[in-house]
Amino acid sequence: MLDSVGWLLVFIFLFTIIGVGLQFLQTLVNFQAYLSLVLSFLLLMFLDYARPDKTFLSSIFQSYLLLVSYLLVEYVLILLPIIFYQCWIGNIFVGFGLVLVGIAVASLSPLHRRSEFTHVKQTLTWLPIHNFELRFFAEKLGFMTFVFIILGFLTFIHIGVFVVWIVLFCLAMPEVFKWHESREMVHYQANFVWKKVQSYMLMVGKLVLLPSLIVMVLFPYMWYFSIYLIFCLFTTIFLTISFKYAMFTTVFDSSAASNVVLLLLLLMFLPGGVLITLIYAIIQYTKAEKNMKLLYA
Amino acid sequence: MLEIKNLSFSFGQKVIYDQLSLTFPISSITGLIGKNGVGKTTLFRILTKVYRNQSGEVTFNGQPVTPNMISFLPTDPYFYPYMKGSEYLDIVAKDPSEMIQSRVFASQLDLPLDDLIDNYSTGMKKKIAFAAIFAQSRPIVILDEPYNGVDLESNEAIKYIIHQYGKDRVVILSSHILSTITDISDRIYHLQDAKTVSSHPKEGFEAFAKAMKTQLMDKFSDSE
Repeated sequence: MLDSVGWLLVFIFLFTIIGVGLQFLQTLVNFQAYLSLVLSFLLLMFLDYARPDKTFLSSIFQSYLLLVSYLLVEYVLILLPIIFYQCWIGNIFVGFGLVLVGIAVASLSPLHRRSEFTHVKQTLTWLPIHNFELRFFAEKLGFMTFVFIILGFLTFIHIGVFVVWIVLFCLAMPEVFKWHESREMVHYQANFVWKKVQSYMLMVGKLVLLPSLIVMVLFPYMWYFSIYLIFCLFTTIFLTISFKYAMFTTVFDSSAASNVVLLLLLLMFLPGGVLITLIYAIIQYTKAEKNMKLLYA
Repeated sequence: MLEIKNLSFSFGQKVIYDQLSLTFPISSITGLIGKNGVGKTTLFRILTKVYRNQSGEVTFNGQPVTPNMISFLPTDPYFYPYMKGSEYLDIVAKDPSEMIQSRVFASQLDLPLDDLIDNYSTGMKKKIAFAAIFAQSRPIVILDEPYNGVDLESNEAIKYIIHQYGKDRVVILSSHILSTITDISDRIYHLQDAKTVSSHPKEGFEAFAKAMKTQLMDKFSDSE
């Protein structure tokens, strides 16, 4: 139960920030109000698919109606900042539509479960095995990874789609690098952490290259904004990998999840905030190299 | 030869080792036994640099030991989430020869490599960690209770693999089941306390096992 409540609070916090951020973007990049319906639907589906407490909830709320009602309350609460904002600026129908989005996602929720409950999995061989953190994360999300990739190709519709895409990418990173691998999975060499960061930057760079180029060609007046976002993404990679290995231990299973990292990532999207995040990442990076050297060299 | 010279280590006031000295020759399998809490796992953690020795030195062929020289199977291996058995073996292997070797061990241990490790039983997790770690071509292999939770058939397979592929390396293993150690070891170190370690060569195993049994029986009958 605590797990469920904890998740709810974290996501309310996150989505409130995103809700406020989206409205900020609406002003900045002339974001169309109706697009918030599509994006809210995608965000809620992503959250619903990724949440780990679905089995627990379905054991508590055994009736379909009760489960959907509970989820509906959660999802409408999450969308509340956006609903209020839309109503405030006179888009009553969009506000009403957002409630319908909450109903739709809550109703679909009991119909699908995550693939981790199966014994086998679909492998994404196009993601290299040495980038196993991202590969296993993408495999675990399954269908949502596919939706995410499609969203990447839809960035030509509007620069706002690109913004949401990159923000989602950044916010997923702490989860990607959450778990520590076991001692034998590390092939230590000098500057281990930097080599890992480089490897991920190269791979993520390849993934975002096409959508970034599309955005820069179709929306040339926003090129500086696109570059800032890509810089944020690379800073996120640098921060999350550095933080993971700064905390790394070979003794027991542990995770590198941290509220500090999450807050710094959110801070990054405010103008100039990326510099604070970058400084923190550099500190963590020096700690990480030192820690790995101590454990392996 | 792996050599531990005058090793001292303590957790606060509790002294674990006081001037401990041990040697482990190459091409030999050494069993390490001792009651719970005597410091077997602590010794392994010092060798793998998880803990720092407070004094003394650990060398291999005269050079200081680095963690990269050691393959280490912990008592309770843990695994990255959402990973298949085959993927784990691929990641752990440094080169194709290690990868092939680990697959051979996995097949000898009858492991379903296409399944998620998250869904493996305790024994299967131990076996796949053993297959991956033992296939690493490192000169020192440390196995902390490799038989824990493993079925009888696989127990024999593990013994066979250690015996066949442990040559040219220093193999150290710990277990609480004496027979699993005496079956394959060339020598046994019995850790008794911070200072006392008795060494038993292969030819003395039978007498040692008998003495241990008598000692324990006496202890139980006294307590009754």
